[in-house]
Order: sequence, then structure tokens, then C-alpha cells
Amino acid sequence: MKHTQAELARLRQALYRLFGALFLYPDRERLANLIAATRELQAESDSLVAFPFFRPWRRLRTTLQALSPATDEGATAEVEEAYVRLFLVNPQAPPYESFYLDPQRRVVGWIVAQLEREYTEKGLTLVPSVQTPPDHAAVELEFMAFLCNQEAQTWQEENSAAGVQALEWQRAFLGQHLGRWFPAFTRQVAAAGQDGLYAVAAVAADAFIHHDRDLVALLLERLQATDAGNVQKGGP
Amino acid sequence: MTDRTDRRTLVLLCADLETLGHGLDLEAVQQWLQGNVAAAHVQLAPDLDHRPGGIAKAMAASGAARLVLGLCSGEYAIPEMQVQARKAGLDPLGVEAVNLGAYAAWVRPRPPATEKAKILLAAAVARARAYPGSRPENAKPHVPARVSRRSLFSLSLLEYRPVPSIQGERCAAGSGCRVCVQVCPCGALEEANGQVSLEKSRCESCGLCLTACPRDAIQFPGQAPAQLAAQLTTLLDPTVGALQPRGLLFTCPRSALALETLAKKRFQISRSDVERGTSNVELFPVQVPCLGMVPPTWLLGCLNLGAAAIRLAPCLGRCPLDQKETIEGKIAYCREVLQLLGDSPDRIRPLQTMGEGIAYSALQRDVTPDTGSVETKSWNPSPARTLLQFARERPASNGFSLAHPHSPFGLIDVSGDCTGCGVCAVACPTDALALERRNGDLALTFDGALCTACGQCLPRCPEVENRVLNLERVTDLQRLAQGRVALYEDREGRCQACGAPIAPEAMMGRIRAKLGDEYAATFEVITGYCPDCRGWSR
Repeated sequence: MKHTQAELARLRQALYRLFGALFLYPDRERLANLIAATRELQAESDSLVAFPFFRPWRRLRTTLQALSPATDEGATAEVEEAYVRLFLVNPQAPPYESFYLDPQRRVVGWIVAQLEREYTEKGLTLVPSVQTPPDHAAVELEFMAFLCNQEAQTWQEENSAAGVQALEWQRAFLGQHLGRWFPAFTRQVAAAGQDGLYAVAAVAADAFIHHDRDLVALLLERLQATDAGNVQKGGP
Repeated sequence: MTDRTDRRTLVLLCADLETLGHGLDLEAVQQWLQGNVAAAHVQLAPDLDHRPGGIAKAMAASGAARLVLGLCSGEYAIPEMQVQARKAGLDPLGVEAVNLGAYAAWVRPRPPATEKAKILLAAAVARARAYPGSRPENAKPHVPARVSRRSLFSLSLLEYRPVPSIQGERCAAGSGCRVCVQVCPCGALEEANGQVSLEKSRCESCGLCLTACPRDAIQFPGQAPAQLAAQLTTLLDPTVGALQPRGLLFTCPRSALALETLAKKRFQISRSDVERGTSNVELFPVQVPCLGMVPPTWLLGCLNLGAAAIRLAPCLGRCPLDQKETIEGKIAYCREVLQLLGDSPDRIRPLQTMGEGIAYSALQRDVTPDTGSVETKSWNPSPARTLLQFARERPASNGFSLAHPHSPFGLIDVSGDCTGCGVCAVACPTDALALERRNGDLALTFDGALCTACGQCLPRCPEVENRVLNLERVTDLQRLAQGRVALYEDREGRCQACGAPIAPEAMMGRIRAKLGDEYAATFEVITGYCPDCRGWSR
């Protein structure tokens, strides 16, 4: 399956949004939305199968679609319990970057300050009513979705310099934040002995982030190489 | 052959092999594999090299959990094959592809080519079964060098190559080990804060770090030691298939392509050349990422398993990783060992110096003394035991000591100025050096069988300027068999208050010499009391 630059960025945006939402509290409405989103993304299977994260992604899709939040209260309650145990009350696997990268594990330390500055620099405003901290997995994944969206827009406007800039921002964010702590978070979820939705989700998100980091680096490398070739040839 | 699990392996054979070159009797291959290789299911598919579209369906229909491809060429549609493997629920890095064209159909008449194909496929099944799986960090995306800006985003072009990853819990970087960083020819491995990380964009997947790591802390999908052991033991098992005697031809991806070109070219030039083959050893290919990664003990270990001959085909032309000298050095080491043991050095040699014609004949059958195995043997993962076992089976093995720059073993010695501080033992990633306490005595001990001559201990010795610790790259059979010996022994000073050990007496003497008479009182405290008792004991 062939993609335009914008389509590829949109596909990645959709995946980041979905993974971000997975690490928010799983009330019944959110679970229903997540299941609907995986159904929509199923149409992209021919594209997704080109990536190494396809197998964990398919496992996640199957696990999510086996849930029936509208009819099966027991199943959704189980997911909620797992969420509380893993991520909320004395969390077994805290979904915060600071827990893994701050030497003192300070909840509101330099990592949060750094993230707030980065979000603001990219044009986002912090809303006091939102309680989720800036270093929460959901927020960082959503931020990557935001950067992918920006990238898609630049390709649509045929502004390739801005497209490369957007990819540079993604590479920096993945390298400095999400890509650095998510593997440890995934191991922590696995160590908690949880084998339900969140174990599957963490493994799939981790495989996706790993791949995306490589993909963004590769795209940039090749874009820069083709730009250099064009300059040498004197072409556009 | 027995299967350790009952999970099925699908062997898909390109149907074009029936008529390629001399052709293979695919029906015979199919029947033999299904009758002799447990849980193997064989199917034929036309033009499998270029149209692997049916793999997922074939996997689903067969209920198999592993996949082996028997192909006409080493150049096949890798991205499409990987997509098909994922569709089938497989890890594409665990799929085995065997080039039956270059190593069987093009170069051997139909009956021996068919026999060879059976053995190669059985070994590939064994490799596939031993595949330990991969992690997300083990896949590196790759696009062909020449793509337009637009087609860059065409995902069907992406191919994923295996790269190594570091298992932090086994890695000794925290205690100072830098072996992998030093051996990496691409500068892809970096150490920071006691942790080694891989910069994927620089990694060329050569595997040098895998065999250099003294702690087996490198995971490299497709090159796991268990996979290699499974492949080699099957290839050299005389009960698998009929061709005898057997040898091994180690290749890298670049030399494999060159050999394939040669195979096709020579066949087209003169068919009669093929039929004139008079040599007696059938060489079976073993492709590794780079020949520079192959330790000498692997080569000797293959002779242990029953190989009549080992040939190595390095890159034709310049090696992009500059490993030619290393490869030649390792071969030279093996040849010297063979000579010292009264065996023929020619059992291990490179192909490159022999010219195209002989390289081609090696693809058919190679000339060497008939010393092939008649019994099934097992692979010994310990380099020292491999060599000792090899030596035991040779009549002239009364023991030897060989100093060689490519010896995989080292000997450590300490001079009289050692203070027994034990820093070298902490730095030693294989535990060849150890600091032991015995009844108030302290001993620095050394086990020659564990020393890989990595040299990590040398710069850590506080007496490095006085050359107190010495390492020599030597293979000494007696020392390999000797076990642990004491290099240095000393009494240990004890705390006058609680009796806890403080430091070796030589170290105390060194401290006194440094402090001089001016600090005699300080010296008395330091050497008389342990850190816990110094505050109140006086």
C-alpha cells in the first residue's frame, strides 16, 4: 500500500491518539470509543502489516474488541480495577516519565517543568482544570499525535521545510522523553503480573514507539539525502 | 531427528527449483523431509522468490508456527516476505531462507543436489526451531539506496534488518567492561553511566559484538548461539541425509552474493565443468553476518562435530568493515593449532586466494583428506572445552602453548608488587580473575579456561604504570585444563577491635610507604581498625 507523506503522518497520528487514550481512565464510554477506533484502524491493516509492531498491535485489537462495554459490565469493571491497581492507587506501574527518569523520582520536578516548556513552545496552553500531569503517558502520546498532525498539515500545504521541522521535533521528543522511559514502564507493567488489556497495550505501544523512533530518523535521513541530491543537481 | 516441541514447521519450496540449473527432485525432497524431520510440513509454490503472496494462506492452512523457505536465489522479495510472515502471525526475523539455487541446483548434478537440499533444509528447520524471538529494538528499518522523495513514503519498500540489543541484567558495563564498544567497527555502541546503548542508524549488523561479549549479554535475532548450534549439528550429523564426507563453507552476505553469481556464470560457461568434479568433500554453506565475528573455537568446534573441512569465503574485494586481517589472523591461529596437534592445517583455509575456478569447485565438492564423521556429536558451547575435546582426540596432543595475536584465550600473571586490592577481579567480566578469602588469607585466583583475553582488567589495575598485571594472548592446553590457580596470596590485616578484615598486608605496607614516618599515627589507625571501629576504639 502506498502512502503520501501526509497520509503516513495521519496514520501515525491516529495510532498515537489511540495509544494515548488507552492510558486514560477506562470508563465505559472511553472503552467503547477505543473499540470503535480500533475498528476504524482495521481498515488500515494492509498498511500496518508493513510494520514490525503489527503483531502486538493485532493482539491489542483482538483484546479490545473482545470487550463489550455496553453489555458486559463485569469485563469493564475488571479493566477499571486493573487500571486503578496499576496506575492510580499505590500504582504498581506509575505511568509518569518522572518516575523512571528523575533520579529522585520527584512527581513535580525538572522533567515536568521541561515538558511544560516544550508544550508551550509548540503552541499548546496548559489548562488548569485538566488534572493529568504533563509527564503522564497519555499526555506525551497525545503530544506526539499533535506533532504528527502538524506534520501532515505541512505536507498537505507542500511546505516541505516545515515538514522536516515537524519531523525533527518528533525525533527530539521521542529521543528525550517517550522513547527513553516507555520501555521501562512496559517492563514495570509486565512485572506487575498483569496479563490483561494493559500488558497488551503497553507492549503494543512500546513496539510502536520503538518503531516510530526508527522511522522518523530514517525519514529525516532520507529526506536530507534527497534534498542534498537535489541541491547538487540544481533541481527543486 | 527428534523435535523438542510438537509445533509444526512449514517448509515452502519454490517450484522453479525443479528446473533451475540441474534441477532438484522436489518430490523426493518433500517426501524425505516429511518422513525424517519431525513436524515438518512441505509445500511447493511457484516463483516464491518474487511472489511470496501465498505465504500467509499456506501458513494458516498448515497450522504451522515456523517457516522455512527453500529459494532459487539469495536475492528475493524480502519486504513482501516479511509482510506475509506478519500476516501469518510470525516474527519475520525468525523465518529461515535457504538459497538452494546457488548451493545445490546450479552447481551439482540432480541426485547429489537433491540430497544436499534435504540436508540444508533440515538444518534450516533446526535453526528455525531454536529461534528465541526478538524485541522491538531488534528491528532496523531500511530503504533501498535509490528512492525518490515521493516513493520514500511508500511503505511497501521498507525492509527490516536484525540488529543486536543489550540485555542490561547480564551486561557488565556497570563494572567497567567495554569489550563490545571497543570491538564495534561502526562506532554504533556507546557506554554512558554504566549502560551500553546501540545507535541503530550506525549499526551494520555485523555481529562482532555478539561473539565478543564475555557475558552473553547481546541478543541478536537470527544469530543466537542456540540457532547456530542447531544448524551445525544438523548439517554435520551423518544420520541426516546421505552425502559424505561433509565440510562447511562460512560466508558473509556479500561473499554469498558473489558465490551465487559465480555459480550461475560457471554453469552457463561450461556444463561439463560441473560433471568433472573429482573432489570428495561436500561443502555446506553457513552464512554469518560477517566472518570477522566467527571465533576460532567455532571453526575448531565444527571439526569436533565431524566436519572434514572448513572453508571461509570473505568479501571479494574490500571488506566494508575492514575485517580481512582479523579473519586471516583467526584462520592462521586455527591452522597453527591443527599443526601443533598433528592434524592437517588445510582442513581450515580461506577461499579467496584460490581464484574463481577453485572457489566454484568448492561449491561443488572440495578436495581434502577424508576425515569426515560417522557418528552424531553435540556442540560444546564452552570455547575451552571445545579446544580440549579437540586436542584429546588427536594423537599428538601432549599439550602445547601457542602465543598468537588471535588466540581466543589469555594468560594473566602478576608481579611481586601486587597489593591484592582485587580491582582486576571486579573488572573481569568472565570471572576468570577472582578474589577469594580462605582462613584469614586472601588469594587472587585465575581460571585460564574462562579468560578471553579481553584486557578489561589491565587499565583498572592501580599499579598499571608498574606493569604489575600482565596479559598474554596464549593458548596453553595445560592451563586451560588446570582449573583455578592462585596468582597472589597474602595475609589479611584484621581490626583490633572487632576482627573484621581490613586489607591485605602488602597493601598496608604500600600505604605506610606512601604516608612515611610523618603520618605514623594515622597509619596505626588505618591499619589497626576497620572503618566502623576507627571513630571510638581509641
